[in-house]
Amino acid sequence: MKKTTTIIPILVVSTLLLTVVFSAGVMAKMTGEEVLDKVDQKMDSDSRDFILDMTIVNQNGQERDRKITIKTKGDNKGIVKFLEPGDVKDTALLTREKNGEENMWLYLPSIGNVNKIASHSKSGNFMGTDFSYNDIDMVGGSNYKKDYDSKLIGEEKVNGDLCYKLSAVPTKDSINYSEMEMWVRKDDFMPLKLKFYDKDDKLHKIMINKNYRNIDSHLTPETITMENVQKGSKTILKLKEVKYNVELPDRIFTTRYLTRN
Amino acid sequence: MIKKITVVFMVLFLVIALPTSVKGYQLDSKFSQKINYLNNEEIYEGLTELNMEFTKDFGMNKKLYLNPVFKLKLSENARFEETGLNEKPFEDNDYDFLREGYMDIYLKNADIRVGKQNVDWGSAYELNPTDVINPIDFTAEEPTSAELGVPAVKTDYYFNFNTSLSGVLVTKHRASLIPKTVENMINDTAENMIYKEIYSQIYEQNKNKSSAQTTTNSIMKNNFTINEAEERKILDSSDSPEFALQLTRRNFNGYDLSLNYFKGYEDLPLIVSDYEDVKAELGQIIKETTSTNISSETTSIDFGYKKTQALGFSGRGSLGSMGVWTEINYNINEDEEKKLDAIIGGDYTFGNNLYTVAQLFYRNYNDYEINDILKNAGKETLLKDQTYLLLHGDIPFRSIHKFNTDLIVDLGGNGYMLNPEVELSLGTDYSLDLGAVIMDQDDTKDFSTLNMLGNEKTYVEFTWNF
Repeated sequence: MKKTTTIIPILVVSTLLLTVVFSAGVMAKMTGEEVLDKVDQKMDSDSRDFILDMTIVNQNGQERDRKITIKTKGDNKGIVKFLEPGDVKDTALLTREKNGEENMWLYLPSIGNVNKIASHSKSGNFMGTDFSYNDIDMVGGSNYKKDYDSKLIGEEKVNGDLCYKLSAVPTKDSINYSEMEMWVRKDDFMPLKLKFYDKDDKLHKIMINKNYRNIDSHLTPETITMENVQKGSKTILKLKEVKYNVELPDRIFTTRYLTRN
Repeated sequence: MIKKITVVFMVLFLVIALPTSVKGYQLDSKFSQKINYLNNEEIYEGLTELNMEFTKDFGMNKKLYLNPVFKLKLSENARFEETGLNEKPFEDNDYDFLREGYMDIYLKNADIRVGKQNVDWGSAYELNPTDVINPIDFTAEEPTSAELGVPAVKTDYYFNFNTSLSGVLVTKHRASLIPKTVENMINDTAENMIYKEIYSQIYEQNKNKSSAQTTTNSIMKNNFTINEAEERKILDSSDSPEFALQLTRRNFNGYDLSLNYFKGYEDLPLIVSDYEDVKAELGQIIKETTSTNISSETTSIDFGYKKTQALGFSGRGSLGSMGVWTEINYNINEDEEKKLDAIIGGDYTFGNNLYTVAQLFYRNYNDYEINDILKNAGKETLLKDQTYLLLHGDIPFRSIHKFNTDLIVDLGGNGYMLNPEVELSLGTDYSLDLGAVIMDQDDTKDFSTLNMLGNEKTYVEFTWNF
């Protein structure tokens, strides 16, 4: 009888220990793909409507300000439009993805016409910023898992927050990076830092997401900084207005809407 | 001049003093001051422009857009006195004050634009052969971007995301503005042709040079006139209206494609008189003059804007890692004179953000009567077949500034034009452009495409957006 009473607590403790060990094992074995999946899930939204202040800072510290709006619907439609200043006002970029193929159209008011952008241009600078067309598309709504194959390479702290560290390679030719490193906060799967390497495997850009706020149940960084370490310039995006899951009619995501000022 | 300067700067002051939004109007303004040094003429000229854009949203899917422009030429010196090509055919304050002014109405599947407007068609870089609706101000500093607004109604109907149909009705034909000196050159050419015709006929009869010359001069003075072209008021006449259609299909196998049709009038003046009739009338005049010393008959060479039809095609997409495009426009006028414009081009962005464009432009004039006239006058280069190669490159530096270069080469061996430029961003709203136009032309007096793009100059331009 005494034996039995001794065995039960041992079994309970063992089970608890096994559960903890097993769970820890599962967590430790979380793959890069699973982490990216979690990131995409956490940032997923039916639609987004952002207004952002943009500051371009060159290597001499000279600053130029812009104001843009980004609207996205699902993970296959997006539009970026410049609101200020006058020389770029109404310049607009439409992105639509169908059957895995991404198409972009650019409206330049000075030309007065909507033109399709060649696939290679998507890796070029977006309107003089340190973001490429692909990067700016990512700001509107993450599609990391679709655009990158990733693996977990460790854990590191970023500004005191423990993060998963991922190494990811792009799956699309139009992404002109050889590799992306990503630090994802373990607590909430929010990406805090991303490093992009060029085709020569040299560090090209660093993106930092700061001051996550909970807006409409979505964690949203107040500030996104893209630094081009090769040039010494950076572009800072500050969120001014953020709306999630708003009603955005499909007609907004058309070349017809691009030309409306 | 002082008055004009005062007016422009008073308007500028008022615009600055106004808030950007007045009684529902959104106001965006751009002030620019350009100083050109014309290398050949060795003179400076100043060009001041205040460009304002008013937009008012009336709700109910209606929007008003007004684009008034104040322009001032600070130099009173004759511009381009050597070639005269960019000399205004009117006073220096005579320009389109209202560049565009229209109302937009957005319906469920259609957008309607009514008023004075530019209609921009085509997919090529800078030069668009299918962009046939608006005439061009060839007297402007940069004619490639100087379309003249036309009074029109434009309707864009969207069948779905990929397919749309545009219809444009132009209520009054508007001709291109060409420099007065070019008009004079064309008139002189026609006059010389008639002079030669009369002289040769009289000389054949009397074999006396002096007498033939005197009689020819008398006929030229008393019995012959040149009538310049007049713009046609389409709806006031019994002619059918000027209209255009464009069918667009986006993303067709990755390409955006458009098919265009235009029916209207040529934008450049051509001789509309039947030359055989003129010759017959001249024969009668010569006969009467040589027998009675006087003739009451008259004849004329009339310039006009011929009725024309054009069919165009444009396409744009990717080929491998390059962007590619093509544009073709085939024009046939009432006298079955044909003109073909074709462009093929591509662009590529390098890893260091160097953006490059290469574009080939071909123009063929077929059976244009004026070709013979020009041949007689030794002006074969005018309206001859033309092939040009355009190369463009731009690259940002220090993130906010840009180097910009355009090179246009006449593959017929008639020279090139090089336009290097530095765009400096002085602030979020200020910029300064420094550049030069370098020309290599055999005959700078010709009405060739290269000459129409500008003259040799060095320039600096300050722009302020507010």
